[in-house]
Amino acid sequence: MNPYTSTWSGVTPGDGPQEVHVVLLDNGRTRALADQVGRQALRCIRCSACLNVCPVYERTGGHAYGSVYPGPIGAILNPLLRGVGHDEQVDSLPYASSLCGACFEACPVRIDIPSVLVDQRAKVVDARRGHRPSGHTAEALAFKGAAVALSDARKLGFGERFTRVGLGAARRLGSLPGLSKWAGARDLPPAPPESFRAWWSRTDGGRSEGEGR
Amino acid sequence: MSARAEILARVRSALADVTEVPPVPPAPRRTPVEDVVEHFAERVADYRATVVRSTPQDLASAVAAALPDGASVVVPADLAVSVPGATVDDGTLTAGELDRIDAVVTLAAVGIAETGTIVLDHGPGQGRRAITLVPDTHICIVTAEQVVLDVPDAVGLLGPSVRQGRPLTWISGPSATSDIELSRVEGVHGPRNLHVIIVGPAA
Repeated sequence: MNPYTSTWSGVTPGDGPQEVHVVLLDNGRTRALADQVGRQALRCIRCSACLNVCPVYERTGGHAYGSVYPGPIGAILNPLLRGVGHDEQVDSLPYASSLCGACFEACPVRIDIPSVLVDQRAKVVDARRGHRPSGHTAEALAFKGAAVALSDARKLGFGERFTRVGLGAARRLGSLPGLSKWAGARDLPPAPPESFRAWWSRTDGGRSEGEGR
Repeated sequence: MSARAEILARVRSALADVTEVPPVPPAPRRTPVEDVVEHFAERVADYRATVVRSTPQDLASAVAAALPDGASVVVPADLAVSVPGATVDDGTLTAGELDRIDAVVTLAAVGIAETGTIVLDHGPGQGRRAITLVPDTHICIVTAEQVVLDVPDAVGLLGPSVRQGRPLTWISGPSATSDIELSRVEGVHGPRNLHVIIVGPAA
């Protein structure tokens, strides 16, 4: 036990200060407490075990989190305490993860940091819905396109005709100066000879498969 | 609305969806030891404190033997042990004046064997906080009946003191800290020398 621990319950006549003021500082704690998924982050005992095992923290260092709480716990605690949708850096924190789960394994009080990260990502998206263009604009646009194509079978079937052309175009895009570094380390899959739909209608759902192509 | 009411209201509304409160698990119990007082003596000594045993009859001479030669001493006004030449605290000694006094002699409220901790609730014979913290040597008298096995036992005994609004001082060995750069600094929060006299029937 540490050598000297003092506790007191207000003022003691004739002993010590005769006037005591207590300042209660919320600092976003009740905001975090109200979050059904995120409130578990308040269990944190500041042991730093999650920082030491985090591959993201290992490369970015503490200042990248813009708060006294860095690392995986900071990536969930900062958006929980400060709220999302106001600050670019805070909103980026839940995305600073590959969701590898090393922090959850290391946490002595079992805070499920990956689940809270995913939940906070959803909250960031919700907060930015319909306004506030952000660094995620291209991603949002891509998902909007995907939603249009995937919500209707005919649209999807139509789009599939362009798979080969689209992949070819994407390969050429990858050599553009801004994209080459990212694309150079990634392979696009080869286009299949025919789509599932085309196969299904050609073989009558597999019943006449023997004919070959 | 007071700040207290406001912040408690915020906590309550944040927890509005929580209907089930998980039960508080009972405090873990340590397996009993054969001789609790001996266990206490060993653990206190582990903290580099001096520990001696005394009978009630020999207490005054044990206190005298514990005091450094020619030391100035302060005692609480209601200390039942006679300490010749001691300054009796009347509540007016300032921290500066106490700093020029070498030692203090007090009783204690509870001794915790497992952690080697002495708790003062600053009740009878224990004085106000300043006299137990400023002089550099604390001679603390603990009776064998005051020694309990573990922290939960002590917390149970100290409940009434806290409810009366009394401050508590938990002492685990002489004051020392390694908070800054892991280098050990003694005497930051309290006395650098702790001398514990355990009073009980002759062992």
